[in-house]
Amino acid sequence: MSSVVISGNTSGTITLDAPAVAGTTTLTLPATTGTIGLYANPEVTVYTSGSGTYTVPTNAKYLYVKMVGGGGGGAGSGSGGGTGGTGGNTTFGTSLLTANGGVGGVNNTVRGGAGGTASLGAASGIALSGGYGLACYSTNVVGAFALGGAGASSFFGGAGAGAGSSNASTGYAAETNSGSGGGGGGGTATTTFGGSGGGAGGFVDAIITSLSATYSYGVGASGTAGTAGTSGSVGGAGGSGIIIITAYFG
Amino acid sequence: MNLIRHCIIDTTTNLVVNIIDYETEQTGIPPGLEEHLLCVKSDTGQIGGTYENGVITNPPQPEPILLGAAQ
Repeated sequence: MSSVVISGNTSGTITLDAPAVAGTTTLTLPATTGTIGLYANPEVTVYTSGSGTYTVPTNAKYLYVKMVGGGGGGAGSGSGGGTGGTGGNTTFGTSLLTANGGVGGVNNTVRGGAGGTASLGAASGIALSGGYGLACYSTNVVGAFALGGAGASSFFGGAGAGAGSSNASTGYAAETNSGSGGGGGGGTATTTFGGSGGGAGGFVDAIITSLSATYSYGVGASGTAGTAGTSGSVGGAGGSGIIIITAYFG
Repeated sequence: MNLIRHCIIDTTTNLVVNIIDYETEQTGIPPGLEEHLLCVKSDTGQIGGTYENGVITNPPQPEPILLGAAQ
């Protein structure tokens, strides 16, 4: 090596400080032309409800976004039990990332609510549909109780259990911000219909490298619990959605 | 914290297109979202419902694929 040159056309001082540690610290430069980035901690933003505008932090290089739609509600049990509500859709950007809500469970049916769909726009990653909730168990056997179907679990877990006995016949709600489905109601008396579980919200795991200054967002609400029918009980509500954004600077 | 459930209405079709919870009651355009959307507080409105004269009418419940009927 013949020389080390620090060049530039701005005024001021460039200072290279050795760290206050013992021993030898070595800085090895890459054998190519480019810009050396400085490390900064990632910045994490979590939205658990509402809608608004996300402003990309200054000097962010890319965003890593994980999000889920709201989970569907579990159906009510008993004759004429109500269908669970469909969960709200979680969105980030306009037609960029979408994780739709799971569908609510239906009373006395062979399959629970469908999972929400998901889609990616100009981003890299995966967009997965949520799973179906479980079917319920209806019975006309004297002495047997109907069972509620469990809600489908999202990527984040936390699904609601189906109700299983006369002492605990209300379907269990999914965990808040899980995007999972709520459980269906069970029978409060013998020979009746169960409620099926709600579907899970769609899931998106994406990296955005071509950044805009801002992004709109909305967090899907939970699907409502199905109402109780005759000799039945209510289902459990689904879990609301969530958006987790990590901005990277290096 | 108790959140308040809102239906998001597409004013070009008068359909409920989303459900979002907020910490406070919202009216008008939902914060951060497109101007053709409208925020309406509702505990019972569902996606796919219609909005007319301030009232949300939910879509019909889906037909179940029935299990063997209990008696």
